[in-house]
Amino acid sequence: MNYLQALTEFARAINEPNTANTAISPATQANMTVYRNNIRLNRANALKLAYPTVLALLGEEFFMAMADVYTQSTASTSANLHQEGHLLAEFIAQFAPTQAYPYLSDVAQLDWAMHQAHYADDHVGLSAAILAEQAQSLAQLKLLLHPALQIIESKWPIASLFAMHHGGAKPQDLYRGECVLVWRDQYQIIDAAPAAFFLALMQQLTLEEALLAGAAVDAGFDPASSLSLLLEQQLIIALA
Amino acid sequence: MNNKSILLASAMVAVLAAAAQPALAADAAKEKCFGVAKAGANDCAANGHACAGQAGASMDPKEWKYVAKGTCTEMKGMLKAM
Repeated sequence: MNYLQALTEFARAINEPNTANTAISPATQANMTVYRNNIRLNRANALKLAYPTVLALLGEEFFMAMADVYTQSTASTSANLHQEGHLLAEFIAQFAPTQAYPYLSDVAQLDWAMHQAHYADDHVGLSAAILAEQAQSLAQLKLLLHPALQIIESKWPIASLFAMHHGGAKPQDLYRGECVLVWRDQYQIIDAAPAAFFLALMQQLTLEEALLAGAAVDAGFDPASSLSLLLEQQLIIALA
Repeated sequence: MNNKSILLASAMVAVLAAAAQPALAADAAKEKCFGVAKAGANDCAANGHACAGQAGASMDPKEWKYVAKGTCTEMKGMLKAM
């Protein structure tokens, strides 16, 4: 058996307890269970840290049982446990025991966006002065935004549900959707027009096209506060 | 002025106004250190078990575990029948 075969067999034995595992000696076979359970528990604990709102909504026992099914059915794609759980929102959307909580998958998306934003690469934001120098050609500029910036849109009040687990009140109306702009360790509920504006910028459309995308949603769209937010929070990292 | 001109003018005013403000000192609270984990995520204790142990115990899913005891039970009464 070469090294690659040994590793492959070892990896299979982690996922399939009943398969033959000649990669390790008979004396240590029994320790595979310990090894296997530690992997499962470490992955489940990583999910707990990435999805605090989902954890609070379901409770510890439900969450850990679900996490175990998820990690069993979803191969880990990174050696970095901070990247564990990138498919949990999709998993929750089709997992039978969570069907009673239709908002849960979208809440998971927001948890994941906050988690991603926390660990996104650092970039220095452009100062407003640099953008002001380009004032004459503003319309045709493309703004490259910070990679932590994301938009999550839901027909459920996901930001209110998130806030509820960070000291806020219970949402008044469970059927009032929310669109949330997420960046490093912060978020803000935004209207549909700014959301269209930000999405257009993320898709590398010109500022003019992004402004029109916002106005197409709401004729009264005023880009001033959206642009101020991007500049104040240093979320524009380059111009093109 | 047409709508496009108004939008661009508003955008330009926002940019110039931001540029006219004194540069904000970077918010120390938002500064990020590489390799530093979120609160509670960085110590071995957060794993809840000794690295050597956690043997044996069956982690097979059981139906009774899927009874939510978290805050979604508070939201249950707000859900309309689907």
